Amino acid sequence: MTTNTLGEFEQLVLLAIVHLQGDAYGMTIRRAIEERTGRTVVIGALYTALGRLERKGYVASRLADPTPQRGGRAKRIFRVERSGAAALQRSRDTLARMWAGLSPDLRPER
Amino acid sequence: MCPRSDGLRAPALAVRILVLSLARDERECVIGDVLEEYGLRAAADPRVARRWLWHQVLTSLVPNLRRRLACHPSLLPANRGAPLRGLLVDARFSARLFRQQPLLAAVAIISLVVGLGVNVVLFTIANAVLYRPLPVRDPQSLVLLGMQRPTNVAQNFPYWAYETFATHTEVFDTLTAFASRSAALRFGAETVSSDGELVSGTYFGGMGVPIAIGRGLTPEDDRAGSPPAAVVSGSLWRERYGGSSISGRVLIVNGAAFAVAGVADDSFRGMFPGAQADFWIPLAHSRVVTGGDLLLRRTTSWLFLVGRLQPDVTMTGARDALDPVLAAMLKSAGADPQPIVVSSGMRGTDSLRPRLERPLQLLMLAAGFVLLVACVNAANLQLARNAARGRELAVRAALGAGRARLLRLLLMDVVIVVLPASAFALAVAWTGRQAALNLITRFGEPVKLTAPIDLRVLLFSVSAAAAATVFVGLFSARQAGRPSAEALADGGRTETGSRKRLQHTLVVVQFALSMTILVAASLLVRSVSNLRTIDLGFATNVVMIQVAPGDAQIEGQAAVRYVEQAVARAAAAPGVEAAAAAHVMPLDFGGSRTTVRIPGYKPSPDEDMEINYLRVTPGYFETMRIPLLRGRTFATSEGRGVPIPIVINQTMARRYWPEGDAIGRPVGVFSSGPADGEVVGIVPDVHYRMVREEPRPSFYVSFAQSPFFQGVIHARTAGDPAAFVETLRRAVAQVNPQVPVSRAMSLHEQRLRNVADDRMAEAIGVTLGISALLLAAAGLYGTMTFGVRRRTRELGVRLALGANVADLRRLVLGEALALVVAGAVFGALGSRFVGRLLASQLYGVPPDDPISLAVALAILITIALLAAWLPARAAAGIDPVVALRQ
Repeated sequence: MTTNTLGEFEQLVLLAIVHLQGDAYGMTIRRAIEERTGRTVVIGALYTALGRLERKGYVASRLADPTPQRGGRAKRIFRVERSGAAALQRSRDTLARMWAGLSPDLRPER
Repeated sequence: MCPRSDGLRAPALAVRILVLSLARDERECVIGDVLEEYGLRAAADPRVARRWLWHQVLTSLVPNLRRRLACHPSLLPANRGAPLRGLLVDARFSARLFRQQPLLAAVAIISLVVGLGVNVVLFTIANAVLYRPLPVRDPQSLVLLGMQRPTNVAQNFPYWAYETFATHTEVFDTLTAFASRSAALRFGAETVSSDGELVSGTYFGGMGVPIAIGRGLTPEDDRAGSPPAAVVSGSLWRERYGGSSISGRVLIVNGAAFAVAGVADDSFRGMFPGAQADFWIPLAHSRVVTGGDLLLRRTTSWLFLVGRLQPDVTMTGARDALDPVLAAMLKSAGADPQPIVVSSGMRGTDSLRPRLERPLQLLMLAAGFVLLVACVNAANLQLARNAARGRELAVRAALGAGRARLLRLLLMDVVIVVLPASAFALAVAWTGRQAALNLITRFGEPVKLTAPIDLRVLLFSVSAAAAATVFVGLFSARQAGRPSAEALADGGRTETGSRKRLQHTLVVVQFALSMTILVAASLLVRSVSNLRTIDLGFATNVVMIQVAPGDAQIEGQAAVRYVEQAVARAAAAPGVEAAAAAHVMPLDFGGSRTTVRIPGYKPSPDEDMEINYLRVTPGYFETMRIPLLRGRTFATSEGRGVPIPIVINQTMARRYWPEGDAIGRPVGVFSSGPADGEVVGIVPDVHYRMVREEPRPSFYVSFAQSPFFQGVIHARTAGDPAAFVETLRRAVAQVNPQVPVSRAMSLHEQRLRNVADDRMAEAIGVTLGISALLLAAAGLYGTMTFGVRRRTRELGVRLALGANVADLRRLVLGEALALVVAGAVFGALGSRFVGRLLASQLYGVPPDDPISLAVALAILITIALLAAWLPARAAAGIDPVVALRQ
C-alpha cells in the first residue's frame, strides 16, 4: 500500500491542512473540504486518510489542549511535513503535464 | 457521558455507537471533533444537527472498525506479562481468515451451527423425555414397584396391596398410591373432560410435590368421611378460576363438589411424563371417578405404587425385603407367585421411556454423525488455511516462537470458528426447542413436555463444542510440527502429498457417514409406510366417538339405554352405513385382559393365560366388516345368560383347540370357578391394541352380557370419515348433553397416532440424513473449489498440452466422484451394522433391505454430482495463458 503518489482524497486533506495553517484538526479539516468542494466528508474516512498520511510521513500531529466546546477533550492538530509538501507539488505537476495542451473544456488548445 | 455544547445534548445512543466503533487511543480526539461540530450545527438547527450526527456516526462505522481491527501481527513471542493481550492479537489475526477464505469459512461455520444445533435440540428432547427427574424432593430415592410377569412387568396393584406394603416402614419412609383417570369437570354450564390423578394422602407430603398456592392433600383428607378436598394444576387455576384466591372455591368432579385446597406448582405435572394432570383428589373419594368402590375390590389392580426408601435401604435391599411380602399376598389371593420388581421412581411411572428410549438413543447417535460431518468441514477449512501458511509459520519459528506458541496460534483459528458457531447453535436450540418438542406432539398423543435449557443441556452443548474443537484442532496440531527450511523457501505453494491424502480421506469419511444415516432413514421410511398401509383386519373408513356416561352419573340400565340410543343416532346420521359400539377404541394401546381357563388345555409353565378381550354390541362385526369364519356372532335379543357366549379369533382357536372344532367348547373367562363361557363363533385375527402387534389370542363378549358404562361408538361411513367426524360428534353429544364426549376421530387418525413414535423417528431420521448429506456436499463443494483454484497452474498446463475442456471437467468430476463412491461403499457396509441396531424398530422391512440401500445411494450420488458440478465447470473455464503465468 506504500506508493509515492497521492490519492485524490489524500490531496484534498493535505491541501486543507495547508489552508488551515496550524488550526488543522479533525473538525476543521472536514469542514474546510466540505465547504470548498461541496463533497460530504465522513469523519471516519478522514481519520483513515490522516492515519495513512501520517504513516507515510507526509503529516505529523501533536496533541493540543482540551476545550470546553469539545466537552473537555483534547484535539489532535496536524501539519504538513516537507515530504508531504513535495508529494503535493509532484501531484500538481503530474496533473499539469497531463492537462498541457488541453483547454478546460477538454478540447485541444488553439 | 452527556456531552453538552450550548446546553444542547447530543443523542447518547449515537455517541455510544461511535465510542464502540473507535479504537481506544482515537476516541478522545474523534469524539471531540464530532461533538464540537455538533455543537455548532445544533446552535442553528438542532434537528438537522441530529440527523448530521447520526449520518456521520453510521457512515463512519466501517472505516472506524477497520482501523480498530487493523492487524499488526506480532511476530515476536508473546510476552509473559500480558497473556490476554497476546490472545486478543492472535484472535484478530485469525479473524482475517474470514476475509481470506470467505467461502470455506462460511461453510465451516454454518456446518458447525447445524451440527451443534441438531445435537443440542435432540439432547434437549431426550433430556425432557428420558432423563429429567420429577420436580419433587430428592427424586433419586424414589422407587416404583412392579410384579415380574412372563411377558412384561405389571405395575398396577390393588388397594389392599398398598395397605400391606405401607406397613413395612423399615423399607419405606413413605409410600404413595395413585392412578390416572379422566373425569367430567363442570364449570358453570360447560362440562369438559380432563385428566387427573387419584392419590393417597401420603402423595403430596411424602414426595414433596411443589405447591404454588395453599396446601397439598394430607392423610386427613384421605380418610373416609372427611370433607372432599382437591388440588388443581396451575394451568387449570389460571384458565378456569382466573388465578385468584382459592378460599371458598370449589371443583365439580363428575357432579361431586370438592373444596380446592391448593394449586400445584407449574413445574409438577403429575406422575406420568408427557401428561398433564389437571386435578388431584384423595383415594377415599375416588368412587365418583371410578364408578365403584375400587378400594374394596381385592382383585382389581389399578394403582401405581411409588415409595421413598429409608436412607439406609438400597433398591436390592428393598427387593429382598419385599419379595416374601408379595409372595404371601399372592398366595393368599390364590394367584401364582411372581417376583417383585423395584425400579427407580425418579421419573414417576417413566411411561415414555419404554417407547422412546431406543429410538431417541439411535437418533442421538445419528446426530453425533452429523456433528462429525460438520467438524470435518471445519477441519477442511483448517487444512486449506494452513496450506497457505507454511511460510508464515516458518518465519515465526525462525523468530523464536516455540511449539506451544504456534499451537496456540493454530488453535485460535479453530476457536474463532467454533465459538460463534456454538453461540449461534445454542441460540437456535433455545428458540427452536419448543418447536422441536411440538414435533412429538404433532405426531401423536399430546406429549406435554417442557424443555428447559437446564444445566445438563448446557453441559452437553459445551462438551459437544469442546469435542468439535479438539477434533478440528488435531488437524492444526499436525502443522505445528517443526516448520522446515524448505517451507521458508517455497512458501508452501505446492500441495504436499500427505495433506492431499488427508483431505481425500475426510471427504470419504463424510460421505460414508451420510450414507449410513441415509440408509437408516430409508429403512425407517419403508417401515413407517408399512405401518400406515397394512391391512388391519377391519374396515378403516370408520369414525369413533368416545363417551363416558358414568361421568354423568348415568349407570346401570340407564347407561345401557344411553349407549343403544347413541348407536342408533349414529347409524341414522347421513352418510353412515352402519354403527356399533365397543368398550375401548381400537389401536389405543390399552384394553382389557382377563385370565382364561380352558378345560382340557394345560398351559406351559411360563405361558401367559391373561388375554385381551373386547366387549361389543351385536352390530360390531358387521360395522367393522370382520367376516365370520365359523359359527355365529351375538344376537340382538341375547340377554345375560350362562354360559356367556364368546366369539374367539383364529389364533385363540388354533392355540387352545388345535385339533377339532372350538365351537361349543367351554371356556372359563371371568370366574375362577367352573367354566362360565362357551365359544359360539370364530373370526379372523385383527390388530387390537397396536398396529405393530403379533397375532395373539383374543375374544369378544357381547355388550348385553356385560354392559359397559363408557365406550366408543363406531360408525362406518360411505366416504372419507374425516368429513363426518364433527357431525357425528354433535349427533352423539345431543343424545345427552350431560355426557362428556372425550374424543372423536377417524380410525385413520387413530392409526397414525398409534404409530406416532415410528413417524417421529422417521421424520427425525430423514432430517438428519438430509442434513448430513447437505453438509458433506457443501464440504465437497468448498474443498473442490479451493482445490481447483490451487491447481490452476496444473490444469492450465494440461490445457496447453492439448486437453480439451470436457477432459478437464471429467478429470475434476471423476476425482470427486471416486471419493464419493468410496464413501458410499464404506457407508453401505456401516449401514449393515446400523441396520442390526435398528432391527427392533423396523416393521416388515429386513435390516439389509436392498431397496433402501439403492434409494439412499441414488440420493447421495445425485446431491454429490450437483455439488461437484460447479467447481468442475470452473475448472473447465480456466484460461491456460493466465494459469501458466501464475
